[in-house]
Amino acid sequence: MHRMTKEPPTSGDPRRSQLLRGALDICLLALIAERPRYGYEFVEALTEGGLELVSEGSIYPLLARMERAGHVESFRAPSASGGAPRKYYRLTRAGAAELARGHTVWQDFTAQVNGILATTEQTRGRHAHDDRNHDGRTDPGDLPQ
Amino acid sequence: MTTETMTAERILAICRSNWEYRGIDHPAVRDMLAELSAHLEDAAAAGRLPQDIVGDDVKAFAADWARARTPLHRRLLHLGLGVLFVTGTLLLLSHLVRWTGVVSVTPGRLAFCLSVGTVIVAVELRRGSLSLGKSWLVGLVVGLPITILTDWLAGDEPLLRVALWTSLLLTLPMTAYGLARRARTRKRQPQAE
Repeated sequence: MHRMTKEPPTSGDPRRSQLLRGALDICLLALIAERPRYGYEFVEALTEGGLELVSEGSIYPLLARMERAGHVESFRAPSASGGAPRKYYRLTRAGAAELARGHTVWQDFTAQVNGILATTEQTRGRHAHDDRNHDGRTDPGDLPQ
Repeated sequence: MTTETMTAERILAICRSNWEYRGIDHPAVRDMLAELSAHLEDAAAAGRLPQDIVGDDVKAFAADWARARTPLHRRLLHLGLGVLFVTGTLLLLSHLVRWTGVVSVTPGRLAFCLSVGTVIVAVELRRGSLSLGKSWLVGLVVGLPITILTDWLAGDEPLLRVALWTSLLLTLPMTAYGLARRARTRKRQPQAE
């Protein structure tokens, strides 16, 4: 399998890679919804947003899949930086609907994950408190003389 | 050779070979190469290496993009038609060289074509397109010994005889497919403009 994301310099956590792999299509759709972009511009925008890809080219298979699915369409136009005309991607109506769906799913998903993490953190905190009290009762060194 | 030490030209050559052998049609290959080439140029201007774009394994990158770009059934169709076309063209050349209406296919000639074809495809998938001179070298180094060995082991009795019309027929599906694609592309272009 082709690796998609760089190991984040701060945490070095491969979980970030997996999360980005699942959310990269929504990120690309959101960036295209802002304005038509070409390949390198996506990478720049993702990097500015703190998401660095291990292999920048991994956006192209994804863009090709989105184009085949009818979520984006492409056209050639000169780039602002000069050089040969670039292949720009723009959002279709189906792509806008897909972005809205993806956005909702992502928000629901992150809210549910946050909910579970918050609930279990409270429970863990209570257990830790109880354990400390329990240890305190059994430790003779802690008992008043 | 690792991606780290590869030039942009070598990466483009490997991608081109992989996409062509994976049954991506020529207009799509040109389109993908132009897109990748522009990205490599932009990234180089920003001081980044080709490895940052294609990762550690350029063949895996090319395969992933090919799968995403064209569905398997269309790639298989293109590949199958391509194999028929190449076979037909080789047979037509044999008709022309020997100036005959019927070509005999012996085990040795079949082994020559299969061995040279296999080695060239394998090398081009790994390293990009071979030059004409290197293809001749492969023919000499790989094909000739295998032909001589096969002739010695299996004899030179013809396996089958191919008539001129059969050779022509083999080239027709790809020709028709190519013409149909070109007509469809021309029809689309004015609409896009």
